[in-house]
Amino acid sequence: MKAIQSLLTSVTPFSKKRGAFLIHTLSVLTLKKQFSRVEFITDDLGASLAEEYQWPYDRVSTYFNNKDLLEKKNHIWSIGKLLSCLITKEPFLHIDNDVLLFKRLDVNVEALVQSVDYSELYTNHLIQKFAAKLNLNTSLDKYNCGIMGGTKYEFWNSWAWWALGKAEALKFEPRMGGTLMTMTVEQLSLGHYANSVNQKITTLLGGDLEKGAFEAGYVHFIGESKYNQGWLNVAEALFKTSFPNEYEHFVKTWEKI
Amino acid sequence: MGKDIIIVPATGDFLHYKYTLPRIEAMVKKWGVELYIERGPALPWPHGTWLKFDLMDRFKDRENVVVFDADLIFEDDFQDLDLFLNCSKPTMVRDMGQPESRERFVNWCLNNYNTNVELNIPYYNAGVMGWPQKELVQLLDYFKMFNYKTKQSYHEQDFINMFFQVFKIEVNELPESYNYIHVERPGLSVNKINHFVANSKGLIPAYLLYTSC
Repeated sequence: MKAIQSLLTSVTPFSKKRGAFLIHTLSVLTLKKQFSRVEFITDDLGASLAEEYQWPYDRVSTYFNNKDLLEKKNHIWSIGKLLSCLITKEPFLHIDNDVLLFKRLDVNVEALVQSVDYSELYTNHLIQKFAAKLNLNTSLDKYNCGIMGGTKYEFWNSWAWWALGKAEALKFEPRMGGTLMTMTVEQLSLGHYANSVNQKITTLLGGDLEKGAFEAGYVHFIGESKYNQGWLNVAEALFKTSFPNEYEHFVKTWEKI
Repeated sequence: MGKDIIIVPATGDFLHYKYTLPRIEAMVKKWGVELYIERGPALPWPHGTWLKFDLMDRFKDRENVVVFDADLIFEDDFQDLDLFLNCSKPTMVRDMGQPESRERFVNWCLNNYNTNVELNIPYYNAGVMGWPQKELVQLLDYFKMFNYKTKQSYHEQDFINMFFQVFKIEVNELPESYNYIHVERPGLSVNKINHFVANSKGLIPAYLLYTSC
């Protein structure tokens, strides 16, 4: 099975902070240790970043250069992930650029995601409003999709298509809800869609996320944790000791750019 | 002037035209058929939705008139244009949302044209149509009899379906794949003619990316 990462530099927010590049670089290095193929789906700017930082992808494609793919949706920042799931016609795992994997995964699963997400996050009135507009059942499991994919790629293609349709339906909503729209279109919609087609979703981490993450050797720098200096210091120390040559190149490249 | 013509109403300035129209032009060119695309500024509502009738009237002297909406993506190397060009009966596909006539349509006919139609009989989508001259002229004459363009939704599609019922017109019904409507449906399906109605027009770039990968 191959791993995929994606980056759309024209979505909001595309971070140009050092922490984001450091985590992305460390992420792809950890993936390369266990996947025979790691591919990157991006645009021209993403491809040039991959070249500058020497991200060791086996293939870089620039399908996202077509800005019409994003028309009025560049605030729904999971669009790149949905498009990647749509166009990949073989077993795959899409792994966010802020995920580190330190242990080998069991990938022989039809549909694998990171974890069930915290239900209370979805009681937000805007998510409820969006869900109602899209006729989504909010009582089903919602999933954090830091890692998502599996052997049944047809399921992921068809879910992504359906979810992109939901994104279309939300694109004229006020932009203030970009993150909440993403949670609706990706995380909430996956539970609804999987239920409607009777697809079992397996989670990598159990209910105790900290314990599960430790056992799986899995780290996801969600949200602002990418910019938390304490966490970044830990990641940087790990980077320096695990991949000293690559770390040296990262530091030089960051200073140069 | 050829005996047949394909017409595409494409007024206004919409993003999806840059994907759909060149593909339609290339497909039609291969077949050597005349193509007329109506462009220009968007017409004020409801005239845009009745535009098909004006265009069909302009070309009613042709043996066959084919009407394609401007939000269609044909499969690469589409081989079946003959189904529309050489049709001896109106050639259409059932509507996805309303494959049989429902109460809304029955009320529309009654309220706008004082005409009774039946429930639960075939109802067709007007996005993909082949018309032989005889039935086309009959439709247009029937329309002129009322000389009234309702402002209620569904417009020309409802009128055409009302015409079929009133005159007991036999329709050459094609499978769904010839006018597959991509909206609110689970699963991803690649078809001969893909129709991106309403909100789904924004999915056209993603669909083309999917089919090209």
